[in-house]
Amino acid sequence: MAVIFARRVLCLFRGTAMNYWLTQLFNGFSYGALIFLLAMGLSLIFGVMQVINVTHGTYFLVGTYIGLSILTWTGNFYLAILGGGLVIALVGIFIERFFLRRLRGNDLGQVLITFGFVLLLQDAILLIWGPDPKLMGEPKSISFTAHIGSFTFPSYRLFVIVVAAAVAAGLWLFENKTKFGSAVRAAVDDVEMASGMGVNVPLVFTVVFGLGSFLAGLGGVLSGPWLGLQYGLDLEILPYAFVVVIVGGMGSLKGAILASLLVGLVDNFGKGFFPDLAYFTLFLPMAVILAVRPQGLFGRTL
Amino acid sequence: MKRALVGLTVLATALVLGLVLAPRGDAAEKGPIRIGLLTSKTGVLAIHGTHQMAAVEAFKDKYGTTVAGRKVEFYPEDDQSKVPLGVTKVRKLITGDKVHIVMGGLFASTGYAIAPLGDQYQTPIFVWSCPDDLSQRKRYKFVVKYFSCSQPQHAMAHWLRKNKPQVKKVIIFGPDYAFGYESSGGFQKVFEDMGGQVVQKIYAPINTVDYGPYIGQFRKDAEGMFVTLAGPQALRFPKQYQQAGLRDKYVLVGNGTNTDEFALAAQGEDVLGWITAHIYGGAAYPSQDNQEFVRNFKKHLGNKDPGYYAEGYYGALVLIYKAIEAIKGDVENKAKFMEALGRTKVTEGMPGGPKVSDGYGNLNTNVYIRDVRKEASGKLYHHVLHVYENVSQFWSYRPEEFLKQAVYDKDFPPCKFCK
Amino acid sequence: MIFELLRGRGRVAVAVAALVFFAVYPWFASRFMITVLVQCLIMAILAMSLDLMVGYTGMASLGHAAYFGSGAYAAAIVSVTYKASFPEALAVGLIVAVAVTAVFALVALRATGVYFLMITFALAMLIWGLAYRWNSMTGGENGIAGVQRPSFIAGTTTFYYFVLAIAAAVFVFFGVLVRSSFGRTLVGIRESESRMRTLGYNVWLHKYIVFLISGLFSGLAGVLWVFYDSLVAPPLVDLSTSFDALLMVSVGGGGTLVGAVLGAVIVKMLENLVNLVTDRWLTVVALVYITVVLLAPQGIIGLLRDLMARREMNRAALEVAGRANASAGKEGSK
Repeated sequence: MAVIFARRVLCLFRGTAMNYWLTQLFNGFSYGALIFLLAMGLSLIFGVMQVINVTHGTYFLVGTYIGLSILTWTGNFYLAILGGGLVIALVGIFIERFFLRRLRGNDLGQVLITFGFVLLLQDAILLIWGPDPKLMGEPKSISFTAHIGSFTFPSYRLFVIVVAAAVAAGLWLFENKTKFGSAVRAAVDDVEMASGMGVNVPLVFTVVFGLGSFLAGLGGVLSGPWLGLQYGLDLEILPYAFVVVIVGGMGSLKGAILASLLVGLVDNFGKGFFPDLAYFTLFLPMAVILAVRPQGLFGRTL
Repeated sequence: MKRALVGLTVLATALVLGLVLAPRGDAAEKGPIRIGLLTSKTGVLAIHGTHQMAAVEAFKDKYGTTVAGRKVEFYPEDDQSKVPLGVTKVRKLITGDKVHIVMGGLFASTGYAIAPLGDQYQTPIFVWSCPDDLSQRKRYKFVVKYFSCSQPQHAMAHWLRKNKPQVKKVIIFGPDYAFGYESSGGFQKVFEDMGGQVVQKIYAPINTVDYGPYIGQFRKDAEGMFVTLAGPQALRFPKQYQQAGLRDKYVLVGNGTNTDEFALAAQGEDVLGWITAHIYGGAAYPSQDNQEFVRNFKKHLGNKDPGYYAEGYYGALVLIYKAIEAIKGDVENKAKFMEALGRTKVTEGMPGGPKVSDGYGNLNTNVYIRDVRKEASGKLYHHVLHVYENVSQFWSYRPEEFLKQAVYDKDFPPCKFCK
Repeated sequence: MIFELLRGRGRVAVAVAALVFFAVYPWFASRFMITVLVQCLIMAILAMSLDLMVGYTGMASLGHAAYFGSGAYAAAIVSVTYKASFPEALAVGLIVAVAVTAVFALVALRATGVYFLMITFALAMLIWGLAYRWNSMTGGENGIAGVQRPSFIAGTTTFYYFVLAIAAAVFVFFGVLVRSSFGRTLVGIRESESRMRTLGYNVWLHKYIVFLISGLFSGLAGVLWVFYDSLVAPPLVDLSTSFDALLMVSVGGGGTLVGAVLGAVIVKMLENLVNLVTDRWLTVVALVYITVVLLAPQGIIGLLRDLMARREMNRAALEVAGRANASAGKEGSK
């Protein structure tokens, strides 16, 4: 194994090595950015509400479809991104308010019901949009292949990185500079304590769930011109988000950012060096972190 | 609480009753002919199931539901795009519905998995997909199939060497399972026998989301690519390939599934000019049989074009009817039915052209080399560049010689030129 | 009437009736329905071993596909690739399942509650990743086909009786286990870990042992499944298997072995029969998940128990009231 690895690394350093590393770094970064949008919501929801929201990947995919419909009606891509996020936020709030809230304290019931919603929403996709794969066009202004020297990269991925960075900055401001944000942070640390301090916990839950779902929907629409719309994508992308949440620590913004980038890069270089163990290279760091630091890199202690 | 209890009790009772009463399947000896259809109506391959069910309707329009004087009943089953469930469903079709023949199976892997059931239950299985070895080294008495995955790709390699001799070094990219290995292996074998070189082979899991890591590895010193895309890959890869700015870098040829009609409309300009080889000429192919099929098909699927997934399902049913006619409807004699299936020859009514059994459980077929073009209306279609007629799964090799080599696999043929 | 079935002699009657039903079932069912019941019985073993953790010890595992799957894969690999016999495949399957459990349990037991759910879920992804991508060993996407049953259980009916006998034995073994002092300790841990700790029990060790037993029997179910279905492929070990197993436990009612068996039968039946009726089977299964969680979180058996308890309370109340009335009447007549 080590020999193969060494040989591969050597190969890569020869020839167009510099280019290769740059391209792969950029790819890993951009994919990490997309995963961040999906994983951040999952992480927040878990951190605050202690709900393992298996439906999250499906929110992402339904968001993409809704974004496509909005794009078809209005022709405005940016409207589609916002609209997809908002509709999914409403769906999330609905599910939180009428189902998950009734099951507070029943961890198992909550996770089971979120899986029920995975199946329900999947069938809804089949019913409303059909099983045909679909593609979403991105605006011409962000659709070109940029060249810097001999290094080429798709500009759309750059756009995704920019959006993810803006979202991360926004979340940081929200958590650190607003009163409600500090309530959310308090709830991540300890719900009971926060409640004792006068935080309106049900409201925090609704907002967090809505925000998390919004991010999933928004990320979903953003993924449209990149990954395409394909029934079944939800469960293919969900494991990535879970790895991020576990590695980064549940509820931690900093953790989610770092872990997303890590996952993007490990996924990229893992596929290059050990194509046969593509998922294993992704899950192994996760298992190691679970073993030595079950709360993740930046999670609060269990 | 009480209502829930009542509900659950009713549910439980219904299920226990179901246990006792459900499909006994003790149909009368000479009832209708029952044909089991295995497809995927849900899961990642759901789109193909939709196309195949529409193909069945188109088939009924043309050939009716009576053959050799007996009524025919179809039993469609959904394997949810999961190989193990396919096996369960075939077992259910044979033992529960008592079908006389099972046709279908979307993955090449499903073909390999369900084939042993044919011999186990002494019931013919018409494997619709293309697992090479089922008609080569791992033949089953009760299994025939529609084509071999490598069959059209032998021709693809031949065409590429003949028409674009400047393309000497080629990268192979495909899905990481039997379908990818066999398609790519067939291409590599003929391509290298004709003086070409495969310099890199990369296989990606079928559900890969981001192709960036693979695309980034493509060797810059190659002139061409042989690409095989299965299911969802056909949508994601072209877009990301185009976004990486490789459109004009390589001459891209590949498997007919890359630009199959099910995806063509969604793929858009990203696949314009892609050259592919397949056993179907595409919905636009002007033969009379094909145009009639396309017209019938469109009626059943919202005016959408059929691709090979639909054509293959349709064609297999034509062959099955033909075999039933040959034995005058005596499908209860499974051995005789099987023998007839192994000797079919259909020259008319097939959207993909004539099919002739080769005596190994496979069919000799036309192979179409097509490229993707755009109509004035903006709609994409396949233009046929060349037709190889009556192509055998052994290409021009002698079967005995061919069968001595291993089945095409991830590491076979070995990659001699990958430095 | 239904309530009497849950008590004393009624329970024996139900058990006998069930056994008779299962024993004579192949005489009147089609071959297909026999294979469906084989599926139910194998899944019942998986559900019972999961119930031992979820229902009895209060450890909700969201990753039992891993132990089921490692048993299945190990048995398939040695039986197809290395041409091992059935007993050998069985032994290897069980050993691998226990080995995987032994390692995973060490990691998972560091957490409790919802974190435990999350960690078991994550660990199961690891096994899925291996099954899916370790081509040279697991066949990757293709899986491993062609597992053959030995001749003594080759037939559909003989295999059915074979699985029935094993499932019955597992049921009895678990029944004895949960009624032993070990089993009572487990329930104690479920109710309050800290109390058991103060009482001097080694809580961690108990949980570890339960995890091992559960993994062992999940592996057994996996091995049986391979010999039933003749192949393994990645979907067998993906998250839906873990969820299905939990659903079975929840439908029947956690903390009761009968519930686990009942749940397995109901869920497997639904999967096999619903799509005969409607193409919208996803919605149907989804609604089962949602209704069970919302309306019957303690499962069918739990509901029956609740109602029985309530009835008894009512009866007791009535008796008290009646006695009071009677004495009041006497007083009145005085």
